[in-house]
Amino acid sequence: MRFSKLIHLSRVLLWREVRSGQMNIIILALLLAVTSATVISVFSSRLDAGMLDKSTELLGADLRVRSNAAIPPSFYQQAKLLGLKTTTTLEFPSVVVAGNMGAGNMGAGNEYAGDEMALAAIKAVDKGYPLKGSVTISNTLSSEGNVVHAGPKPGEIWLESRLFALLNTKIGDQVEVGRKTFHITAVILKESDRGGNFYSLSPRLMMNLNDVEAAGLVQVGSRVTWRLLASQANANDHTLDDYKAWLVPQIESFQNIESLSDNNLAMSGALKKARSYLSLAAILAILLSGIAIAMAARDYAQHHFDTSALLRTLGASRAQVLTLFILQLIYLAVVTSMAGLLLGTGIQELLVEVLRGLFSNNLPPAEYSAWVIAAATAPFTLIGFALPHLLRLGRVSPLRILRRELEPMSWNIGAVYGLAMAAIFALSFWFTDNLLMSAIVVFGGFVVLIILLFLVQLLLRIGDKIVPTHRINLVFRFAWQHIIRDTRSTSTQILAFSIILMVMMVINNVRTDLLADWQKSLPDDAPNYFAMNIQHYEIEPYQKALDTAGFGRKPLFPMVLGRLTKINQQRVQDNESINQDPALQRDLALTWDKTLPEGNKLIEGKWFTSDSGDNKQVSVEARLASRLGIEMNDSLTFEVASESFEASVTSLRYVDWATLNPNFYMIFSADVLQHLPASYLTSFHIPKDKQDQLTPLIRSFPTITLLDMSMVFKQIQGLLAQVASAVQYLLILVLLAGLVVLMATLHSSLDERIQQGAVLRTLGASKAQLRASQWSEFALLGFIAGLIAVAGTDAICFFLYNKLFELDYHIKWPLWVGLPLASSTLIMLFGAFTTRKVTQRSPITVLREI
Amino acid sequence: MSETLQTDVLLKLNNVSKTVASGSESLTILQGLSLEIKPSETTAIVGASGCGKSTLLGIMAGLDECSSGEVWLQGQPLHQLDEDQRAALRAKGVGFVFQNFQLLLGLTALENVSLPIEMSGKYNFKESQALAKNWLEKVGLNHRLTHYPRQLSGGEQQRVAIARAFACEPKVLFADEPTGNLDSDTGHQIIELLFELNQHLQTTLILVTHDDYLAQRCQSTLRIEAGKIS
Repeated sequence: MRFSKLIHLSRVLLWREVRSGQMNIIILALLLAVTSATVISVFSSRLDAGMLDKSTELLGADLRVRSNAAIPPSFYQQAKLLGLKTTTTLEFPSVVVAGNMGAGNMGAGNEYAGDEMALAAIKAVDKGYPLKGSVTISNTLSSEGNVVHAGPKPGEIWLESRLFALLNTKIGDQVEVGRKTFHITAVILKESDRGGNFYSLSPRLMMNLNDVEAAGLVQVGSRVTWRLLASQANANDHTLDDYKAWLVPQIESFQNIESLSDNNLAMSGALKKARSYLSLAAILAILLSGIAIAMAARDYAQHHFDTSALLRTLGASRAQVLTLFILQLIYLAVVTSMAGLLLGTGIQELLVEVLRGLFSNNLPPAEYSAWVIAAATAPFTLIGFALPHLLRLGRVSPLRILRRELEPMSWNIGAVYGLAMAAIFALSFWFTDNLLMSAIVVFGGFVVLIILLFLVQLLLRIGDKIVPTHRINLVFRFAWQHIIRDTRSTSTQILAFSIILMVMMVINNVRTDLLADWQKSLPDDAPNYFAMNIQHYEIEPYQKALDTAGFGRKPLFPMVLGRLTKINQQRVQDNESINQDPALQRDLALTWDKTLPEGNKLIEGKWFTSDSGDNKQVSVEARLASRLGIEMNDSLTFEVASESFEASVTSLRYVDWATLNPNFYMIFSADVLQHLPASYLTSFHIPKDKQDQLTPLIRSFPTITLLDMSMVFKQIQGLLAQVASAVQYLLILVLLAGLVVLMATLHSSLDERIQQGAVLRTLGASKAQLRASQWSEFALLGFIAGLIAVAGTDAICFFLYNKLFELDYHIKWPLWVGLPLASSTLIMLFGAFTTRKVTQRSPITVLREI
Repeated sequence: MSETLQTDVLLKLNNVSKTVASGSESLTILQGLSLEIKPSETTAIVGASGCGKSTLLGIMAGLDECSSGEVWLQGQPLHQLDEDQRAALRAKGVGFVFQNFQLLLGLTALENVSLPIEMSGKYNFKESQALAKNWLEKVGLNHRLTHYPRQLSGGEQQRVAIARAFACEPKVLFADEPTGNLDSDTGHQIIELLFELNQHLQTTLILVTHDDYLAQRCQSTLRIEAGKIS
């Protein structure tokens, strides 16, 4: 037979098969696999690009150089040479004065005539600022605001709302900054590159860089921070890397190239976790589709042994027969890939829509490689899951025409599973770029599956021994016998469905419990404001003021800002594996305390005891310790205002950052820091009805910085909810893949069921009896699957909650009844639908075909 | 015609035709067939392949419906009954033996035989098992009770099928090429068994066959040619 003839024949055969519905399961499974792969591949690629965008937005640029002195002109020249855009910002603290300082050009309606002063964090910005991100400003204190991509014009200033309260001014008023008077033209609502050190926030005042000199604000020796902001026009070119390479040797000790702050890292960490969850869901969907493909392919091969034998008898070679069937697979792969790519693209758009708001701009498009990976899914799953079964078609002996019982040899079982695992592992590694996770999911999953399969079979065998079959009604006995007859096939069906249920339940539990726990851990009177920069002489009056206003206050912590410079006498900046860590690039808030603060838990070591008071000890937050490689008894060197001191690590602490209490990376024994000048911080709760009392408090203590934590709370909660709903969308794909597996298992037993149905009807069974028997079989399968799922969910959640989330897990008893019943009903309906042919076809037609 | 039939006729066909749709055209398989079969009679239906023998058997047994005409089995108008009513009739008094045995692969020999006994509703589980065991002994399979069909030879499978067919003590037994899948020695043994049990129980036997020896053993022969009795 010529190749062109083979191509023609394969097309004709495939088209017939497709029309007869024989290929439905393979097509559905392939479609699901490619769709899931497209969703995750394209979405991850876009998310990665988006996260990069987000971080540049938080920097206000692609790259930022920070310096305590003016940036050398050569830095700008080199950037220009490489085609980068640049701009400059200058930050410094300064006292600003509001009031009638100018020549009577006060804003209309200003009844205030005195001088009101406040310390402001001034940021002077040049033309072009911000290169990335935006500033949100408003003309009134209460409106929503507009997003702008520029700073104030010369002669104008923008203030943060807190500063309006401190200065008792409003828009249109005048404020003196240095030697110059400025007009307030807007309120700053949001500044995307604010970042900075959380503990040294003063209210922002933004002005134009050109006004700085005239105001005489910056003199030699002033505490100022210059920043050079640079950005490249095209995200994909490498000019930025070239610039960075040029910069590194030029950087002096008072300069550094900035990376993201801790808060921003937390955000990108959450997104990375979300990505992992999504990848996991996608891999699961592909794995389940693969199983369905394998089952359908085995079925398909068995149905085509006769065709293969016939073709061989007619003179076709093994290779020709094999080509004929493989060509059909290739057509299927091409068509389903195209449809899956389209469908996947649509679904990932939906996910992007769900996560909208996390990114201020639209997510950038995916890279081409993402599409290539998605398109490779169909061939990969077919090779991994369908090929071993189809290759048997090439081994069919022509003698089968005479002796139907002759079946071609199966592949070695190890080879079949090995190939499948290799395929899924390759895909998983491609998607996640995470070797460990892929290995755990694929190989760990395989081991768990085998164990579960064994357990379910054991359970069924025990059931077979203890169920008194002769006491059961004939119809139900027949159903029960069907379940226990082929325990291997039955346990596969049960397992397929229980795994799907389990995954859905675990994710649902985690989502609701984590959200609930987060809310529970924040009681109604949880602190919603932080007060910082409290001087020791202000402690008493401030606490009194809080009590008088009726704000519930939390303990007060002393705070000294200092840097970690050495670990075990090794300079941290010399250690390349950790020197980029944000915690080493800035001052840390250091404190001392005699008791372990609320929300902290010792993991290793002992808390300071009173008799160890002068031992120079420090307790380190466990995650930071692991990031920086700090271990118990290590000696840490810190620098505070050019004084350096050492302390040895005597404990590691877990810190619940979600408590919204002041939390610290480093807590010292009192002897270490006590002699250093410290400011204090505390947190307190302002009830909704007492918000108006905040302004007098701010005015009475103008130098104390207040931070509104309810915003942070809302942001984190929003993030959790968005990630959870994105995961749920992918779970629908997992559920569908699971249903296809179920369909494949039911389909592989359909021939036998139809024959049985015909024989039973010939022997006088009514349709109702047949249905009752089959439906009760499915219902029982569903019930067992539900029980296993609920037990598995509790086991997994118990482990996850205790080991990972540190939460108490309470077994959900109502689920032990609800889930088996629900799954029983669902499988019964699904099984009834799949096997409806059993009662629909006339018995004589069926018996004649066999 | 009255709605019941005189009891000396077990099966009566009155002008029965069967047509099926084949693509856009309709194909006539049986055309205007009329016949009567008395209780305890043995009848062979013979004819060339594709002449409609098996279709006729299916209609007589209520496994298939005729397109026109009347079919009366044991005094019941099959042409007026729905599938479930016909099934109930089969459960009470009709036995079957097929060319490819049609045993339930998931059940043992004993369970295959006891199932229809229990389904007839006359006996409970234990009684059905005892009766089935008795019948398997009669066909010489007392040593194969717990074997599954796949563990039995073709002849043994057909013996199980015969035991199953007679176990309900049917008034009429339909057999479709009962020896078609067996070698001639085994075929003869099966035929002997079939006729021995038939005589013993006075069952009406209607069989479709190509086997001349089998046809000669029957009291009457119906030859079908192109959908008609010739």
